[in-house]
Order: sequence, then C-alpha cells, then structure tokens
Amino acid sequence: MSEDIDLKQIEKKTYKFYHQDGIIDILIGCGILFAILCFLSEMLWLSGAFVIFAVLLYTSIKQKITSPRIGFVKFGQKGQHRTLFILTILIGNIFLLFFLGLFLYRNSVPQWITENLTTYPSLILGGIACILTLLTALISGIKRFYFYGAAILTSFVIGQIISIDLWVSSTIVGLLFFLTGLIKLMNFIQKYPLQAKEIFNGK
Amino acid sequence: MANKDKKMSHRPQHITTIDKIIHEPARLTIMAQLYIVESTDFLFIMKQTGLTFGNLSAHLTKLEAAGYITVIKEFVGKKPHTMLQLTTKGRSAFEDYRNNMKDFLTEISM
Repeated sequence: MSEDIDLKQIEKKTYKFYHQDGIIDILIGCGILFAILCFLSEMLWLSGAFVIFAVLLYTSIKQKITSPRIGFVKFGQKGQHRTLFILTILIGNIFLLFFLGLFLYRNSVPQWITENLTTYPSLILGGIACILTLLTALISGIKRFYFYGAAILTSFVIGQIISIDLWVSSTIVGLLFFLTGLIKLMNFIQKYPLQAKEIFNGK
Repeated sequence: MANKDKKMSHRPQHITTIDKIIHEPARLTIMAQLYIVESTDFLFIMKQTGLTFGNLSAHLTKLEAAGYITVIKEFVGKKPHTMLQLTTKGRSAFEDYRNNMKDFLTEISM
C-alpha cells in the first residue's frame, strides 16, 4: 500500500498534459527543415535566428491556442528548470553541429574525429541526436520523444547503410516532427474545443 | 475483557491530526495540483481535476476560506483572468497533511 502522494508523478503528468498540443514538435520540425534550407543555400549562420523566432512564436501560439482550451499554468522553479534543460539540449544540439562544422571547415579537428566523421557521418550524427532526444523524453516525461529518438536512429542508420546524404535523413526527421506535431495539434483542437472557456467567461 | 480494552485503547493517534478540509478527495486533488505549480488558472484546474464549474467553485471557496489558496484576478489584454495560488499556510498545511497521513497509514498497518 502506497503511503504517500507521488508528487513527482503528478508533476510529470501535468507537464505532459500542458504539452500535449504538439506545438513544440511543429517548431522543432520547422527548425530542422529551416536549418537544412540554410545549409543547402550555404547560409548556415541564418539557422540560429530561428531559435529566437521560435521562442516568440511558441509563447504566442500557446496563448492563442492552448491557454483558451486547457487553461494556463505557471510551473514553479522545477518546471522552469525542466523547460530550460530541454531548450538547452535542443539549442545545444544546433550549436554543437555549428561548431563542429566550423572546426571541420578550418581543419582544426583531431585526425581521428575527422576520419570517423567522414566514414560514419550518419551514424554519429544520428547517435548524438537520438541520445539527446531520449534524454529530453526522460526529463520531460513526454513519451512521444522516445518514438522520435527511435525514428531518428532508424533514419540515420538506414541513411548510413544505403549511403544517402545527411540532409535527406535530416529532412525525414524534420518532416516526422512537423507532421506528428500537426496531427497532435489537430487532435488537441478537436478534443478541447473553445466551449469551456466561453462558459467560464459567461459566468 | 481486558484484551478488548487493550484493543480499544490502541486507536491510531494520528487520526485526529488529519486535516478534514484537505482530506476530501476533490480538494486533495486541487491542493496537490496547486502544490506542484507556481500558479494556474481556473480552467486548467477544471480540466485536470475533471470537476464541473460549480463543484470546483464550491471547493475553491472552502479552500480560500481556510486561507489555503489565494485567488488573483487579473486582466490578460482586455479579458479577465483568474489565477489560483497556494498560500504559504496552504503549502505547509498540505505538507503536514502528507506527513500525518503517512504516519497514520504506517500506524494502522502495524
């Protein structure tokens, strides 16, 4: 018999409930696709600008779509730390790739790293992205990030085996995030119509 | 007879310390929800607890009267917005309730 209220579990459940709208997935997907476009047009520096844009967009969409449907919540310090950690992981991921690209460009990376990167680029990139995504899933309690982690690894391993370009595997991952987020958002809007807020305001 | 008396006197001591205001299931859910966040609005609590508007209002009134929660009315743009927050008294009452329940359950299971 449990003798205590599992507050950690309630906290995770609440955090998950507030992020069930798929907005974060859509923005991650857009970020990946935007970074690929910047990479292909040789303007990789521009991809960092999306992070600032995404934060502003995220707050605005949450206010317009999520809050009127399921309400608004300010998480305490723990929740804020969790969000900050997730953001750090995601932004850190972008910066890691940026600096790696910069060092590779300047030929200042140790030989063994360059050799491995040129022999197994998909495997290494996929592995790092997979670990970071799984870590995000573990901390946030948002279970669909486990699925993303597995999908990322699968996509990049297949990419390595059949020798396709990195940007193709990345596009698949970006599209996966974006489409899953879009489906989640549509389900969310259907599940929570604006009715409840209207009743509340009317009282 | 002596045995019966002994059994009767072995009543759990912590039963009297259980906070009846928090102990009610709906209010316990509300308190637990508010304990883990900084503040939240009425709609979010309603969705999380599954209570109706009237029911939730009644429970919130009781918690507010006990000094456990505070209702902050603010405006977001031109729309009124009601935020709920656990007071320091409410926070410590919830912690006490958890400890007392833990002791009580340990006591009766011994």
